[in-house]
Amino acid sequence: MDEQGSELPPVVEEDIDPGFADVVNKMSDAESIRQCIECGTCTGVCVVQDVYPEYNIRRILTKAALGLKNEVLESEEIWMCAHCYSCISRCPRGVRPSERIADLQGMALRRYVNNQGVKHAKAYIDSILTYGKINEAKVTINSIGYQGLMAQGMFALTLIMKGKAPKYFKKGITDMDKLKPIIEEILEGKA
Amino acid sequence: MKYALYPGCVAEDSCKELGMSMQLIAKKLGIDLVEIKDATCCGSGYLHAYNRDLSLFLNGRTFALAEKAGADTLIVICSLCLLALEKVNTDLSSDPELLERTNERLRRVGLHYSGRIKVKHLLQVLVEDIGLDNIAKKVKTPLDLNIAPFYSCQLLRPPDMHSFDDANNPQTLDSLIKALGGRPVDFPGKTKCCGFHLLMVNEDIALNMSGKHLKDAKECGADCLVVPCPCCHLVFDMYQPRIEKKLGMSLKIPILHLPQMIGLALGFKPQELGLNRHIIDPLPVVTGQKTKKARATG
Repeated sequence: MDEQGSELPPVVEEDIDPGFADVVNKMSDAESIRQCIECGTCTGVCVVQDVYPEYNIRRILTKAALGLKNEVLESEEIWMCAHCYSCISRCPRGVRPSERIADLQGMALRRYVNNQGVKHAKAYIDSILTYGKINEAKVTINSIGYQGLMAQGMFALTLIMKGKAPKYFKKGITDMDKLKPIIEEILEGKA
Repeated sequence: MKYALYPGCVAEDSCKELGMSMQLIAKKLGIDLVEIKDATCCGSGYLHAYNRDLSLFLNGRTFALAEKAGADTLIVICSLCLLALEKVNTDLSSDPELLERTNERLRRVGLHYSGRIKVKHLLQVLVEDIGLDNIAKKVKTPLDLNIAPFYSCQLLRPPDMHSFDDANNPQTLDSLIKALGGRPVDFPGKTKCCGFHLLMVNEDIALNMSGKHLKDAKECGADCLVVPCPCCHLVFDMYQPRIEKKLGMSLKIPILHLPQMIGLALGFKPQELGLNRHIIDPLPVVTGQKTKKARATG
């Protein structure tokens, strides 16, 4: 779609972080994301692009390889990957596009980025760090908020009536207390 | 052979009926199963991306618990869990240094992992270990239904992670449907994506993706869908009323969990398999009323 003239802002030198470009270019199993020959196969087989033509995974990876750090890590686009791995199956150069997106998601998670994708993934990880399991009710509320829940109106109510709504008060795993110090050490890079 | 069951968070909570029906069919099929109740969440892809060492430790702990329970294979009933656990297991079993680093941490909670557990999805266990012929022999009530198999992304891809079916032209679920007396329905969305990962990020895109597959399956003559992953079930069943609203059309297509479909053929009652818990009521379809009536009228 972008080839057909959607207006992309010009890249200016100040936006480029060469260090980030180096990291990104070494991320792939194919040794370098520079192995990409821009054939567009990844975008062609993308299931998200199928229903949302503006979504272009090749453009995200090209931006990342160029070193456009803030633009890539702060964008909601990296969170729109469905992780269906169709692109990995078809990439002729072994770049493994959706795994590169996951790498970028990890980077966004480790710095403070405030968007819906980070909010949801953080809610998910927080649940694991607190209970050892996913508390679906809390992850949903922390991801879309009470407002988002209210906006679903009758839908949320139907789930509750059907007994399909996940439990808010849910037991975590039993030896979470023993795991927590080790988890903390790993997160601090000590253990 | 002794199997450990990795329950998975969704199958324990909003899709409880999946865990229930899994236990029932395991008994009937003679699968010696011990549930690892205290396993942590696999982290799907998020935990691995956030902190790989943490993902290796928590999932390594799950493998160690399975070994401690005397199992050599870990059965998974969710495709996201499958890929996340397989990834970690490949890392740990192929890199002695990584395994040792993980074991140093596991030692502090009194555990050890040898690196030898096999991670398999239920579908893979049925095809490779139990055998479809043996399952067919145990069928009590053949499924007189047109069933659309939705394979789920992370069961098939990346193709170098799983080898038990062809990623581009998968057949296992089709063959299982036939073994149970049902008729598999070919439809364009068979190997596509339900959109689960986008549900909390951009519901609009997610539901457009899933809606398309449901509509296609229905147009291809499916009475219901079968899914090997509770995350697909969550989108297709729980969100179906919202999908219908978005598409502006009625779908009302029931979605069966893989063990529920098997359970029906093995003679379990719909209630026992938790079919009454679904948002889209499968009873009219599975009891044959709806389909027979439709065939009679036209």
